[in-house]
Amino acid sequence: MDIESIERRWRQEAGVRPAPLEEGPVLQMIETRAAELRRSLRGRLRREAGYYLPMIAVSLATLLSGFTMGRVGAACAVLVLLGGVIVTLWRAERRIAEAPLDGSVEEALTRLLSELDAAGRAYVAVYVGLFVVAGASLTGAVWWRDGVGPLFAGALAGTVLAVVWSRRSGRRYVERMFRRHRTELVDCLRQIEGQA
Amino acid sequence: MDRARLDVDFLRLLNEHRGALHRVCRTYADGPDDREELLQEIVYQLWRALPSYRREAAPITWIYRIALNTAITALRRRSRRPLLVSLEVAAEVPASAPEVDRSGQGELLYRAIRRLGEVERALLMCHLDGLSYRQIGTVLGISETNVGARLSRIRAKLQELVVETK
Repeated sequence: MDIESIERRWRQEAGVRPAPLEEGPVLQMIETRAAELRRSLRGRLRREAGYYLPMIAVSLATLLSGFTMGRVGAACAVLVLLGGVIVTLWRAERRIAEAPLDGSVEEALTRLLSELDAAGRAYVAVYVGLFVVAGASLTGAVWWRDGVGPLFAGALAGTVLAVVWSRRSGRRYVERMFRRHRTELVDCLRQIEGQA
Repeated sequence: MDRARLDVDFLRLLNEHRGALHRVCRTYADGPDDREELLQEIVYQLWRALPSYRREAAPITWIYRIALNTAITALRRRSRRPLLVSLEVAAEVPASAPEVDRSGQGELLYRAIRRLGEVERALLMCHLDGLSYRQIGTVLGISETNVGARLSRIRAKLQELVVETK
């Protein structure tokens, strides 16, 4: 089959118009898809929040042994920090899901790629931030109670190690989460640029 | 969603270009379920982008941009799941297609096209649907010269693929 026959074939097929779209089913399509997106966003956040449940449980459990200013403060700090992680993730996911698609293919791919990278960076930042604040609070508390000594040095070293670990594990998690999609976008962008 | 917002213009726009939408679905999705899902996603994205639609832009380029962007970026990243509603309107092929495609040549052609890269498919589709080099450049974000050069390569590749797919 030569290229002219192929193109003729295409146009012949294109000449057959599908059944018209009616208002009811179109509305249903839009509503279903919008609901599906909301559901998927909520599901994703629920899963993320699930990872932090033990931390929330531990911080609330400390309150069971009695309310003191310190305990309440620590529990609130943990909840605020975890809330920050969840809100960051929610915003990042929303920005990815709602990235505008009315630009050229090249613009849309570039924008989506940058949203993915921004989401990854934001996630790592809040995740590491969580460890930094928790470690700093712990080290500060040790210093306040015992002054500078072996315990303080241990807490400081532990904090540094935890922060380094959180950065690495956060990046690995982000890579796992976005790698496939990112690779596909980069591959399409290469095709646009004529490199593939 | 406010039901009143689905205005007559949007429905008319969809219907004027429903053939193109179906062709995008057929070019980017393999089975009937995936095509239904993709059509649903495209219609949703078109509806979402409607407020930003500038009337001076040719509707066909606007429709193609959104449909192709959706097909290229959205479909593969989503996990596979059953459809929540049955969409009669999103039939895999037009009702009269079997009469036209008795030889199965149409499906063979689409199978060959689906073996091209995502961007190659977009470029070829726009060309086969009669868009000018300038319009294709606007849809994809590449120069007119680039469109011409790449199109000749893609056409040659398609010819080989059609022979291989037979």
